[in-house]
Parts: sequence; C-alpha cells; structure tokens
Amino acid sequence: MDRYLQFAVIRFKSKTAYRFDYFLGILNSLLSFVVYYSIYKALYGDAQSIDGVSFSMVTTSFLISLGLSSAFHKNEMFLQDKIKQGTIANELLKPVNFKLRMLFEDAGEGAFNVVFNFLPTALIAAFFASISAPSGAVNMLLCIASVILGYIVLWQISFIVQCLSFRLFSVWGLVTIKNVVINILAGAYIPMWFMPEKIRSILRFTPFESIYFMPVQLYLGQLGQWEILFGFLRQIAWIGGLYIIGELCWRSGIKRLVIQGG
Amino acid sequence: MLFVTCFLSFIPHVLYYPEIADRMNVVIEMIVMKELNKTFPDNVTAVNNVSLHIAPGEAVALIGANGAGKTTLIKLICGMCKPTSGYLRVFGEDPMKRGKNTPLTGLVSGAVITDSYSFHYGHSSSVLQDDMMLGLNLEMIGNIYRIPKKLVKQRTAEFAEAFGLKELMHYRIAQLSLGQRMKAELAAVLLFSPKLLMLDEPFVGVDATSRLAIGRALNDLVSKGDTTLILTTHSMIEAEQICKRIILLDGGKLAYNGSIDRLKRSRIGLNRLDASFEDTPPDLGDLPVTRYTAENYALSVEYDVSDIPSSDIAGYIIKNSKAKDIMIEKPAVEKIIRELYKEGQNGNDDKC
Repeated sequence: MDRYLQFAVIRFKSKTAYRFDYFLGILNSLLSFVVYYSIYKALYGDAQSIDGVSFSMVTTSFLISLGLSSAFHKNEMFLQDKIKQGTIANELLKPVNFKLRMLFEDAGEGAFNVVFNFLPTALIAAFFASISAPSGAVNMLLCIASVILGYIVLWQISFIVQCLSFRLFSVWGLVTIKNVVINILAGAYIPMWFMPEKIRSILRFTPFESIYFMPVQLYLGQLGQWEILFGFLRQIAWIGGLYIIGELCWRSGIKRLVIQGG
Repeated sequence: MLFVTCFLSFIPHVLYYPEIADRMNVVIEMIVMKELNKTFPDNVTAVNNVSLHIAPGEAVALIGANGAGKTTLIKLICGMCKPTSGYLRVFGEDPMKRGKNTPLTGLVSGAVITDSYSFHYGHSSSVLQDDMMLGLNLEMIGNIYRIPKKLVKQRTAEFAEAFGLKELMHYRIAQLSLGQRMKAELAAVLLFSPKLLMLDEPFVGVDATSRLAIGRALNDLVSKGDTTLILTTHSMIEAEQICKRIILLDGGKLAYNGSIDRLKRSRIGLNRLDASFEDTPPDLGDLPVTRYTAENYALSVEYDVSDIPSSDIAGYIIKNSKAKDIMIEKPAVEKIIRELYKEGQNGNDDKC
C-alpha cells in the first residue's frame, strides 16, 4: 500500500509543473461559486428558508460539492489514449496493479486540487458568503470517511465507462453525458432537498446519492444514526457491485485487445 | 494417495518455478519457438514458420527489411498478440498467460512514435507518462519496479550523465524531441534492469554521441549476463557492437540465425582498399585481387584477405608508386546483409 501511496505523491509533485493551470483553476472555481451564489440569492430573495432549507445550507452544500468535484479527480481519457496509442501493452508488462495505480494517481492529483485549488477558493468564498460550520468533530470524521468511499464509487463508474474504449473509437461523448447525469442525480448542482420526493426515493438506492450528497448531509449533521449506517452500507455495497462490474469489463476488454493485436 | 497428490503437485512447480528448476539442473531457455506462425486477418503472414531458441543472458539482433515481421515477432514474445499456430514459451511460460514466473520485461519501441495516431497528437511514449516531468517519471518507474530510492537516484544520475539528460530532468516528456525521448525511455528501461529487454528500433532519431553512450550502457547490461536482449535495428554498427548473434528475417521467414562472425566468414567478405596518388597509379596485374578499378590518380581494390594479406597489397603500392593516401576497409556486415536480401529475393523469384 505504501508503494501505491507513493504513486499519489509523485502525481501530486508532477502537478506543480503547471503553475498557470493552478491559478486558472482557482479562478474557475471562484467563478462557478459566484455564479451559483448569485442565482440562489436571487431565488431566495428575502426568504429565510425554503422548504426548511436555509440559504447558508445551500451555499455550504454547493461549496462542499465544488470541493468534492475538484478532489474527485479522474483522468477520463487515460484508458482511451493508452489503448489508441497501443501503449496499454506496456502498462500490462509492468508488475503493478493497473487499476489501483490509476486510482492512486488520480487521488494524488485530486489531493493537489484540494490543497492548491479548493482551499484558496473556500477561504475567499467564506469571506463574502455565509457558510455553515461543521456540525461536530465526529460528523466531520464521518464526512471524510464518506468522501473517500464516495470517491471510490465515482471513480469506479468512471472506470467502467472508460472500459468501453476497448470497444468504441471514442468515449469522450459518453464520459461527458455520464458526468452531467451524475452531477445532476448526485446533487452536485441542485441540492437533493429540492428534488421531488418520488425521484428522491428512487435515487436513494442508486450509487449517486452517496457520492456528493451524503458527505454534505454528514457535514451539516442532518442524518440520524440509522441513516448514517444505511448510508455507509449503501456506499460499501455499491463499491463492491461496481468493482465486480468494472473487473468484468476490464478483463473482457483486455482479452479482446490481446486478440486484436497491438 | 497422498503421495501421488504430492508428486503430481510437484510437477508444475518444476515447470513453473525456476528456483526449483535450478536446483534440479534444468536449464530453462528464455525463449523457445517452434514453427511459429502469425497471420493477420487480411491474410498477411507476418511470421512464417519460425523456430529458434534464445538462451538467458544472450544478446540477439533481429534484422530485416521493413515489413519483415520483426515487430510482430517481438509482440508475440511480449504476449501482445496471439500466434496463429505453433509453440512459443518465454521462460517456460506461455506469454499470453502471464504468471509468477514471467520475467521482468522491458520494451522500448521506436516504432510506436511513427504511428499515425500518435503522430497526430505529436507525442507518444511507451514507458514514460507524457504529462509528467522526466525526473518524476524515473521516480515512478523506480516505484513500480520496487527499486530502492537510493539506487534510483544513483542510476538516474549515472544515465543523466551518460545520455546527456541532465538538463532535461525538469521537462515533461511531451516537451522532449524524438531523440531525447528515445534516450529517456532507454534510461527508464535500463533503470530497472529487466530480465528480458526488447528494443524495437531504439536508435530512431538519436544522435551519434548518444548512440555510443547507449551502446556502451547496453553492452554493460549484457556483459552482466542477467539480461536477455533482443534488439531490432537497421543500423548494423550498433547491432555488431552489442550483439554476437544475428537473426535475419525475410518476409516473415528465418533467413539466417547464427553468429555475426560466422556470417562474415561464410560470405565472401571482401576487404576494400582505396588509394590516391600524385601520379599514375601502379599496375596490380599479377596480384591475386578480386577486382580493381584505376582512374587518373586513384585506385580502388577489392580483395580477399585469405588470398593476399592487406600488408602485401599496401606494401606493393607504396613500393611501386607515390601514394598520397591509403585507406583500408573491413567488410561491412551491412553489405553482406544486403547480399543476403538480394539472394532471398532471387530465391523467391525462382519459386514463382
């Protein structure tokens, strides 16, 4: 495991080579925060809360989602590029778990994004917007745990879509659609509180809610003991399920690749 | 019953674990091919009935014209494509089913870079990651192959010095030129000293100084005897410098498989002497040379050393004329290979 952590560290270091990218990243997140903030400010008007959801809850939810989407880094063209260039064969020759290495490299890049991109944005945002404080140390720890599990869920969905590049010429379109669908269904853009009750009761059992919304709820301390337990079980179940699907896609893809020749 | 089970379970161990095989004095060849064939769906036979053995620690040059099947053969050995028929074992294992016994394999392919898709993107690297700095890339390789950090640092410094990569450590791979990238990839591969190293045209775009350095580094690696090297190249100078054995492919068939020395001896390896004079060149009428051409102030002679030693010819020329300059060339393997190609083509014509 130490070795895989090292992959994350190296990735983290390598990101420091792109300084301009780093400033643009901050600008990008700040801009999207301001846009979102203004829209909801206009929607709320003078009202203190809508449907029992206060304005600061909404902004906090969005800020966390923003942080998570920068932390949840995934190099979605990675597999496609490797397959097209034929260099995937070289990757397979290496004595290292391809998937695990990919995950840790992405996580390293995500960590970089959080430290150098999200944290500055959050500090600036906290100055002019009212952001709720975390609802307690235990909840904060649970929130971090669910963030990590949520990342693994999201990453595996991304990996499965990427595996389609064994069969398709380009997965760019699919990846884009997938990201939009996840962002909406997972409550990254519109908080789940505003979803119709019927849709929400369905979404409760999909992997999406456990990606962005569960950490938000834990941060705000909105979940009871049983709900927390259910949430974690749901995350773990989805990680297991998606792992099996991903592994099947990966193996059949590799087999196909080998038969076609590099 | 128990005894039988124990015995049966022992057999695969012998086949698959070289440590046990060593103790039992079983020699496992690094690569064994028997009547190997590879035909692509469009009916192109890239590898045609090739049978050969390569021992561990051997350095072999794979030579052949474009499209002779060199790269396909390498892909087969790597397990990157499936043979149509025939038998292939890499260190006792089917390369398509990699197991615990699979030797650490390094593959550097100059050919990938000229691929049209990657050309479109302007860069492609088979060992290194394009968007990462070279120094970090090497660190990554060290991490993948579990090389101690100290050793990685030491070797990186060594190769940086030898290949002239020192100033490039902070560049991303995508920023490197073709030759620089080839050097970087070779450094990366040499870093983990693989058991089986395959270099597919590694000298593409590499300048003369670096060629020497790379040749020297490869020589060192080979002389240690831990690495089996298969080198594909069109440059005979490097092949001769690094490898003792040559495998010549022609149209997917094995055209020659043996030592370079034998190739030189078996063919009429003619020495060549060029000389220029202040006045008319001397007459070589009675010397046993194969052929000679004399112009106004110049003379060129081709001769077999077993008929007449070089010193005799040179001595004769110096004695009989005012020679300005004399140059003697040994037979180039390149030339011999060219002859071989020609023969191969003629042979094909005969069949038609």
